[in-house]
Amino acid sequence: MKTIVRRQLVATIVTLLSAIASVSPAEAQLLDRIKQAAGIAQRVAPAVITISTEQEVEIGRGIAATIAGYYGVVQDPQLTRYVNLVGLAVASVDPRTDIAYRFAVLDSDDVNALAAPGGYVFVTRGALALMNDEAMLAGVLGHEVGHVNRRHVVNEIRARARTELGLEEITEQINLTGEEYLEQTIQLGTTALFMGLSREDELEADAYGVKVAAGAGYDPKGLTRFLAALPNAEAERRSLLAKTHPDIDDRLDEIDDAIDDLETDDATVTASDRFHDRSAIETPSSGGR
Amino acid sequence: MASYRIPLVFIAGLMVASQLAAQDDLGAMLDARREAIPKQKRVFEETWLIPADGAEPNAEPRFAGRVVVFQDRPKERLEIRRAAADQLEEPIVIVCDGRRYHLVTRVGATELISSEPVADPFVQLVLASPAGRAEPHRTVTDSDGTTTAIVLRHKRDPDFDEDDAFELKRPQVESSLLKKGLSSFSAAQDRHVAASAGARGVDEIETANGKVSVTPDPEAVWWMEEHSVPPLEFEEFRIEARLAPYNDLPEPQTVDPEA
Repeated sequence: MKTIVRRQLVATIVTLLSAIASVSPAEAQLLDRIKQAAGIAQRVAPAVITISTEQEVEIGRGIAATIAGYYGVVQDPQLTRYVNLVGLAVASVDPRTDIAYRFAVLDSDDVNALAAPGGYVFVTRGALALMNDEAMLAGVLGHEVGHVNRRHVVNEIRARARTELGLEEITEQINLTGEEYLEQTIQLGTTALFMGLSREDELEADAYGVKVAAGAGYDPKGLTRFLAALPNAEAERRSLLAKTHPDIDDRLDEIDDAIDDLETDDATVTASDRFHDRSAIETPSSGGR
Repeated sequence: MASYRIPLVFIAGLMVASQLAAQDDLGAMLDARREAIPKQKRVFEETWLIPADGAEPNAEPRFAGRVVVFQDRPKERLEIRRAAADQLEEPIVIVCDGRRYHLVTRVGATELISSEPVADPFVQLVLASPAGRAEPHRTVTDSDGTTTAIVLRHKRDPDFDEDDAFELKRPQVESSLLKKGLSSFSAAQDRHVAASAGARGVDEIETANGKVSVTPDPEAVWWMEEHSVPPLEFEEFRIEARLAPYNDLPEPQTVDPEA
């Protein structure tokens, strides 16, 4: 709307200038200044940066390919199926019906979980090794589904594209998945993931994870138990997670509040036995770090 | 030749008579169903579980299908999706216009009583078992008292468009009336993602621990996309742990072999 108003303003000024073509030197100087102002108004009109679902999935696949290249994906069909089943159970509580959710295990001892736009969600071997039950996995995957459903990375790309892709002075609608911008857009999204999203986004994803895990029937304290288990991992293995997420105590406070807000009291499933039966890795991966 | 004519006519007559009797039964059953539609407008989704053929009495029931019901007395719409192989079939859409029940297809509507799907045992079971008023789950039994189905019911937002739901001339056959529901979620999960552009990735990333070179792995993404979960396996997984929507499903009764 602001763009339209600015364009109308520019058009009005130009019309005015045409109408008063014969003027005195002083008036001409004033008109020059008005012309300059009009030019600036035209240039600073912000680019319209929208990202459709199709574009989101295309960008998400590129980011997912980069994540897979960085860590390697465990190509164990049974384990992947199990992680998908738990992930879909939490995703189905508040689903985005315009995307398909996919879950996979990353071949790394690092403790981490990531979500690319469009529904590509990953959890590392190292994170799985810290878990004792399915509710913990559900809490972690619920947090990542929250990032997808709230479009946190997509919004980060939109915010950064204007300055980092030099789109400030462009007044047309931009296709970020065109040849010119796709790679840079994937770069922006990947950087956002590996440098960290905002504190607000992370805390929102924590509350969301609790909500959908409980909605699926899982014990909502699964995410709490996972965060409490983090110190059990080697410091080096959790350094990236620590640098890209808020302080654990702040997260635990947010999670406690979210649990207090839950309207259900029949979310009690931990499925510990099933987790131990089905989370073992039996097949090598596509690579690893 | 003539000697065979009378018995053939007689047999044909018997078949027609039994068909008419069956239609009468079905008509009476549909009348009863229509009468049972409550006063308040409502939408709910039912998950149907039935005992597996030949299973022990204490065995876990199997996921049989899902039904979305829109009611605004005396009108009703049912979207019945049966489980087949490892998928949910396209919905069978049945609409009551306040007087009769119709089968609705993409090309129009025909009276349900003479349509083919009405012969399906699962469709008959659904039609013969109208939901009660408030219970979150119910057990359907036959005349011998044997359990034929366990039905879990979940309320949905009752704010739907009656014109779309009960339209017969230009029927809506897609499950688009539910803005957000498990049916459309399943459809999204089934959607094939074209493995074309977009999985190219980038070869250097900046992390909180510094810059790192990467070789993108688009094949791992395709592998991920190929390993989706069949819908029925997803249902069995949730039933096994009593995850939603199966939280209220009774546990199978254990049978004491000594007893």
